[in-house]
Amino acid sequence: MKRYFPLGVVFSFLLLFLPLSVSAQTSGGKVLTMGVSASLTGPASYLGWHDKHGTILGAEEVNERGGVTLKGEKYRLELELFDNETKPAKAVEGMRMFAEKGIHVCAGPQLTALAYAVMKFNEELKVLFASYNTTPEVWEQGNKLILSGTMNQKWSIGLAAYTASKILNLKRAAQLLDTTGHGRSVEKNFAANFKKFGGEVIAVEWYDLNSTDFYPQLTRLKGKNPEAIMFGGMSAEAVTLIRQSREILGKKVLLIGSDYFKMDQLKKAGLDISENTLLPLSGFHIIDSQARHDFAKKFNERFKAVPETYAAIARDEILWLSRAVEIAGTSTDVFKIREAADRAMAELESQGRLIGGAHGGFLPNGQAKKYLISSNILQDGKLVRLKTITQLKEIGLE
Amino acid sequence: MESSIFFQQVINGLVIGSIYAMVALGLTLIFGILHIGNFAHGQLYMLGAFATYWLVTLWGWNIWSSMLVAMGSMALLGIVLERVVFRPVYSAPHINGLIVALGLFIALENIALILWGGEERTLPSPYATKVITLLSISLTLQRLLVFIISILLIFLLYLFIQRTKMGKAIRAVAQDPEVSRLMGIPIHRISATVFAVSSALAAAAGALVGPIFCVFPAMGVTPILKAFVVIVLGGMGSIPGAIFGGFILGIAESLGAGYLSSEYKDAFAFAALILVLMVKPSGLFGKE
Repeated sequence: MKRYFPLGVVFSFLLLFLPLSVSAQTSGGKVLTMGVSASLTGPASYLGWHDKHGTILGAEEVNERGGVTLKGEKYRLELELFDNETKPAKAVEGMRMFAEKGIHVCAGPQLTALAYAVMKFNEELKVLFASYNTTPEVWEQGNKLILSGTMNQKWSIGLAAYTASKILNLKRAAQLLDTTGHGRSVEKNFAANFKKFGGEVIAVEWYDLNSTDFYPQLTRLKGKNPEAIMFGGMSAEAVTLIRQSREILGKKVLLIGSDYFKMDQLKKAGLDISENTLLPLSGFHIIDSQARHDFAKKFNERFKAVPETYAAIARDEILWLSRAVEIAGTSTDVFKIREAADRAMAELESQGRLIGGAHGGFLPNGQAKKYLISSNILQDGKLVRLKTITQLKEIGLE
Repeated sequence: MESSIFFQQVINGLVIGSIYAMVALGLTLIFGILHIGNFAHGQLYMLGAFATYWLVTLWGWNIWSSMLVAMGSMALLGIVLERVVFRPVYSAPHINGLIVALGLFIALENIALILWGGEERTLPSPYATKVITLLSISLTLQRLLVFIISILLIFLLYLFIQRTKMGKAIRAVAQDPEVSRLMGIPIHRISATVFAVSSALAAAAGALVGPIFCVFPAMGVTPILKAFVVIVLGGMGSIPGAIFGGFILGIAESLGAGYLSSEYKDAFAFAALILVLMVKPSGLFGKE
């Protein structure tokens, strides 16, 4: 049996170093490669899975339309997919790898903490990246080589605060958030908006991203007797959070999901115990267009799953970046591509090809000009729409 | 209200503490016999949860029979791992065993990732959403069962170690392997049994928390770190130490997060460890 031991060790190490980046290889003609930095593993792998499949369908869509035209020549679009493992250091490693391979345009990393990390290096590396991370602070850093996908936290959190206070008339809210940049930003945004709409945040509790045991925090919140709890975390813990909240706090307390909470998580947690949960749904879930239906059908057929908003946004990012490269006439001059991005977004929007939620493009600092979002509450097993907006000023916010 | 919040926190601590105790028991048994810090133990917890999940969701088994099969499968896997991975390094310096365990830990998590992806899954259980409320204290039936079954398994293990011939042999090997060998105790069979029992316990813990905390490839990381804290806190190789250490840690975390700061919930485990080690460096039940 001893002879198997070295074999076991070698096998273990092979597994350790299994290549985690794969390339969507196709054959024939000139090729333009675009990077995709997705969280395929780690706490945000749920998002990463949708990002990966959304970008794959996005690239296929570009190629079906003839690929990317650069100075009159047609290029087939290929993707270099990198697993950033939901780790900031790994995301930076991916960015460096893209630069070394001569890839200057990429979709992702999409999460706040990862975007923060790569923003320290991407200008120097000359890599332009699109990110749907929702944290306003990311967009206020002055980085010239980051493009907003579609979502913006100010909208989803603002609308959630408005709905809880103005429509549901709840005035005492608590918050339970993860300790990432995303969670901390949600905390500030929700508290400011909820106060503006006449409510008060009476308690704030925190948890680490990999936590699964929220009972101590929820019990502490129970002692404060809140009418609503705002969650500012990832999809991964949504089911656990809903179940544990209902166990400790009962069904009367309104649970407010951040932009990561979706209907399928409520179903997994159990529709009965998920009653009285508020979801801010954006773009993909409420857009009714042919492009959206086509994408949903294709996604379902190929990947045997209903696409999430993130898949649609990731698909939009590929279309958007490809068109920006075409307009700029270069795949390496990132500043020119950045300049062309606004026009590319406007074009795609006017053609009705965007399905992730952006309408009318984005300002350079990542603020949406127009964005489709609604607040919905789960009642009797169904989502009931409470308010839909396309402009923040519709609810008194800018 | 204030007292019900306190008791709710204590109950939260007891439930999570019972899981810590179960995982730590397996770890301390292996350490007691083989002097190996078996990091891979956390992955048997994860694999046990996945095995239960697949049996329930794919084959439609009920959660208890699935848990028993998962325990049996992990016991077998434990025996295989002991034979193939750990036995060759018994006579090597302890650091070799530690590195092998660490490698196995990472390899098993990666295998799970390749096979099942990183998605978190909810283990269906009819008891996960049934809430019992008594004097403002709420508890799902699942959490109550976690506590009861953990106590039952811990008690059975205690009986096994104290009352059976095999248990006596395990204790003898833990005290002095060389003398035990000279007395005719089959050391390798004892090691395999210890791995089997420990792995089955880890699988039971994983299956029990699956409906509460979700099932995913990285779910074994936090429990194994906490289990190491528990066995150092309770005394390396001490069975009562692992049991009491688990509950002390669970309650310390729960009360710490409930009354001091939730932001540093996981830090309380290490604060408790430092405090105990300052007073008793060998741990609560450790021998000087």
